[in-house]
Amino acid sequence: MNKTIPVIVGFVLAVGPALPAFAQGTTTQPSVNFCTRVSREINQQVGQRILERETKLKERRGERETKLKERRDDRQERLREYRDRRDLRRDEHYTKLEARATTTAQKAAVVTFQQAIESAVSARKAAVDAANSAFKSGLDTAIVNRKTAVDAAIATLKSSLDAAMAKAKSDCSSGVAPATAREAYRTAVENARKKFQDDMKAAEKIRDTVKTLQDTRHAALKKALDDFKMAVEKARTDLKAALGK
Amino acid sequence: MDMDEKEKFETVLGEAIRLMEAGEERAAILARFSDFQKELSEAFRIVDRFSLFGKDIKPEKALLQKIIQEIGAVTPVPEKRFSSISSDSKGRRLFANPLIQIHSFMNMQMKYVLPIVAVFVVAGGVLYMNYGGVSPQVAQNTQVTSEPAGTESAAKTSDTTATKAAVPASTGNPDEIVDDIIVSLAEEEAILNDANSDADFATYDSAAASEFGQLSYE
Repeated sequence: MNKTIPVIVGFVLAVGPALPAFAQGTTTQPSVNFCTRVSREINQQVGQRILERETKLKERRGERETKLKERRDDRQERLREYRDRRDLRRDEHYTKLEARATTTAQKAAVVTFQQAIESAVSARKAAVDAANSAFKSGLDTAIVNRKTAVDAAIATLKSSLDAAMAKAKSDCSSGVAPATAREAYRTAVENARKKFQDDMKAAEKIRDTVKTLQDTRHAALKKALDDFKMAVEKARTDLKAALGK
Repeated sequence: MDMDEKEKFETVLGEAIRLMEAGEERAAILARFSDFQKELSEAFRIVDRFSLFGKDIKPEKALLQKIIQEIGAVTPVPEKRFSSISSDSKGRRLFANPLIQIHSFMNMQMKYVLPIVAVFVVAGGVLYMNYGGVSPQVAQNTQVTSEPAGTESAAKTSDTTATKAAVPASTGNPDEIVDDIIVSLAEEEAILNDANSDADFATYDSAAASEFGQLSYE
């Protein structure tokens, strides 16, 4: 037992330096086989992988379209229901208010109040709808633009890969060393990959566009809210003054 | 065990129990009454066992018989063992206690607990019907007027109906009217703010698209 460990250590020390040579011999094997693989196996595998990713991307985009539409429809319905309910509620308020007005001046004040409130409500609805519409169309446009950019990046990548594959096949058939042909192919692939990644980074700038859309909408909604509150408060003050309260 | 021994054992047992309750160690008690060590050990074991089981557990029949055989001071009454404690059992009442307690509890349960539980059930039912829940009549009306359950829209409609029903009637007071209008804006704002999350869909395909740049092309 005591002698076993030194023997193992000695063996490793003796054989260790030779291991890289074995490893090198192993890695050179793909280069040797590259030319036999490039025309069938590699070409087929690359095509299959790209096809799978394209299918996945298409599915993902389909999901986005469905979910986004569902969310928008649901929100629109909730907003419509809210507005209908509030319209009825205001009518109820106006009826009660009219019932309390006894003099001609008071009745006129109530009518003025009602007109002021309804005007403010209409203005708010219009402002909100405009802000929503602008955001929606802006987002849709951004999504389409991004899709175009991404599709272009993928098309460029595929084109570059096809060119790299064609050159590799040409190199192999014209007697270029397999290792050289393989190295040229790998370099071309890496360049294509880098170009794709740069293109994707550019496509990701959609976030800035979307942020701008959000900020614009937020500002529009805030203004609509402030304007509405101001108009309603004025109507309150005017009505109370007319009613003598 | 003859009658003399029984009487002696009863006396010893009573004394042993008194000492035990006074806090004396069991080993010391056993040493003090060395003639009845076996019987006293058994008695202590039984007491311990009942203590562990708690009041609601009846002793095993075999164990009870063993107590009767070992001690012989309890008049056996078939089928009525829980009422078979003799009047002169003295200190034996300690380990007979669980039996008495079980018996007492059962009697108490019959006399007091069940009526109390019944009163609580009835009171609870009345409270539920009037304050805590929805009465069958209301539930029936709701079922008739609401949309079929199981859909999101139905749930929302139900919520809306509840909200609407909770709104007090208008008083015609200008302040209350304007306040009501302004307060209601929060609900609209919540709906509108929900649109912010739509922006996340702009990059919904990012991960899938990026995979093209991570593939192995060899």
